This record gives sequence, structure tokens and C-alpha cells, in this order.
Amino acid sequence: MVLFCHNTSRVETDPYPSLLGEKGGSGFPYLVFMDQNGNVIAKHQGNRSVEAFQTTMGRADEFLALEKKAASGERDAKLDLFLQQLELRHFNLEQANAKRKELGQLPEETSKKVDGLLIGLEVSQIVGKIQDRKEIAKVGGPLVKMFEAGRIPTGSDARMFWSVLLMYAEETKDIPLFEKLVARLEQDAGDDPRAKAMAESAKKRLEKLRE
Amino acid sequence: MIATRWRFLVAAGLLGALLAPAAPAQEEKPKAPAPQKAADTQEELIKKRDAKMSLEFLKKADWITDYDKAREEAKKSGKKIFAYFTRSYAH
Repeated sequence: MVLFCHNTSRVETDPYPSLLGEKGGSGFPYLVFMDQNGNVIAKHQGNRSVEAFQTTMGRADEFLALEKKAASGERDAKLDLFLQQLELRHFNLEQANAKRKELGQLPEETSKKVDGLLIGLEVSQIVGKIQDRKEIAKVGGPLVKMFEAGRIPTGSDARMFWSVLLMYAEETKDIPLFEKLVARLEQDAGDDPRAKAMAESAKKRLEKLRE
Repeated sequence: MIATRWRFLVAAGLLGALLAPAAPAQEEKPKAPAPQKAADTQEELIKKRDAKMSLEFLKKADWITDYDKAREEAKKSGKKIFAYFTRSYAH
């Protein structure tokens, strides 16, 4: 195992200042296994015991084994690999769409998963352009289009999507948009306590915006 | 010579100890930086970086801090990379 420590220092002359984001991280510490080319093959989540790291290392080995199987031409392995590569953000949107085309007709279930992952990838690429809140206006338009088309991400991409959209509606004082966002958040929250809390917090912000 | 797998486990153990007691689950949420009167100057950032890079844990195992060298070593040795991303500009 090669041990690599990357430090984000904000020193202008330090190389690879954005490596954390490029490798799918958004907070610290961020612990991953990478292949020899620096592609992330497993992300460590949860507790930081030796046993937990070993489990993640096992998943990294499984990914590498899956790559070998896919390289031998096995169709199911190719599809599984593609899904994992999308989750690990091995591709930008253009590359991912090209890869999807290359794989031809996908089983319905796989196709739905791929669609969901591509939406998440699109959102993260759009939002990735923002360095700070002042740049929200840059990305609001494309995200609003996705929202209005019903192309809404799930998982951690969803939180980023809603946060940025709400900020955008707030910054531009677009009350009708904010109202639509709150309505959708409430509708989708269901029994999920985090989603409900987000909807509740958005409602309070809407009240402030109306003042 | 300690076998590579065991070196990794020792490093992982040290890393776990260094990072504990942190939040129980590693969530990929940006942490709010410590309050600052104004943005650090480059000189202050360099001091913070150098302090971080001289921490003990980096000396207890063969940590590489250069991304290009890490990939080069991985290709030469045929091994995976275990990457620990941290920061020095804020706590």
C-alpha cells in the first residue's frame, strides 16, 4: 500500500489545490483508496478503526477484481463496473454519456440507476464551478431548468442541489421560485427527518424573504 | 522489513488514533472554518502548512505528500494508494 497524504493549504504555489474536490471529497478528513492512476476505487466512511479500514480495503480489492472481469468482456461485470465508476465519479458528464452509449441498451433497472447517477453528476459539475456564495448566480439558471424539468438528484447530490437552489432564490429574491422549492421539499420529505428538517428550515427562510 | 499490508494497518491505526475522537461517521460535509478577523496572508498559510506537515504521524509511516510521486510509486510497486486528505488553512 502506498500511503499518500494530501494537505489543502491554500498556499498559492502548492500543487493540486483542488485535489480534494476532484476526488469527490467536500470535507475533512476524507479517506479513500485509489488505483495506480489516482482513480478513487473505494471511499472510507464510518468509524476509523483498523477493522473498518480493512473492510474498505476489501471493497477496493473487489472493485479492482470487477475491473478485470469487465475487461474480459463479461457484460454484467461491465454494467456493474459502470455503475460503480459513476458513483465514484470517474467520469465527467460527457465521458459518462459516451460510455453509456458504448454500452448500448441497458436493462430497465440499470438504466434508471444510471439516469439517477447522471443527474447527480450533472449537478455536481454545475455546482463545482462555485468558489463562494457570490457566484451562485452563475449556476442558478441551469439548476432551475433541471428542477422545472423534474430532473432532481437523490442522496448527497440532492442536499447540494436544494441548498444551492434555495440560496439562489434568496439571493435573487425570487419568491415564486422559493415557494415552489419549499412545496417540492415538503412533498418529497415523507418520513425522512433530515428532509423534513430541511423543508421546515426552508419554510422559515421563505417567511423571512416575504417580510 | 515490515510487510506492506502490516505497514498499512499500522498507519491506519495511527491515523485512526490521530483523527479520534472525531464525529462517529465520516460525513462529507464542509466544516465551517474557525472564525478569522481577515483572511490569512500567504505567510500565515505557509506557517500553518509547515506546522501540519511536521506532525508526528507523518514520520511514523512512509507517507508520501506529493501526488505525482504517490502515483509513480504505486505504478512501480503495483500497489493501491491509501489517501488521507486533510487541511492546514483552518482547524
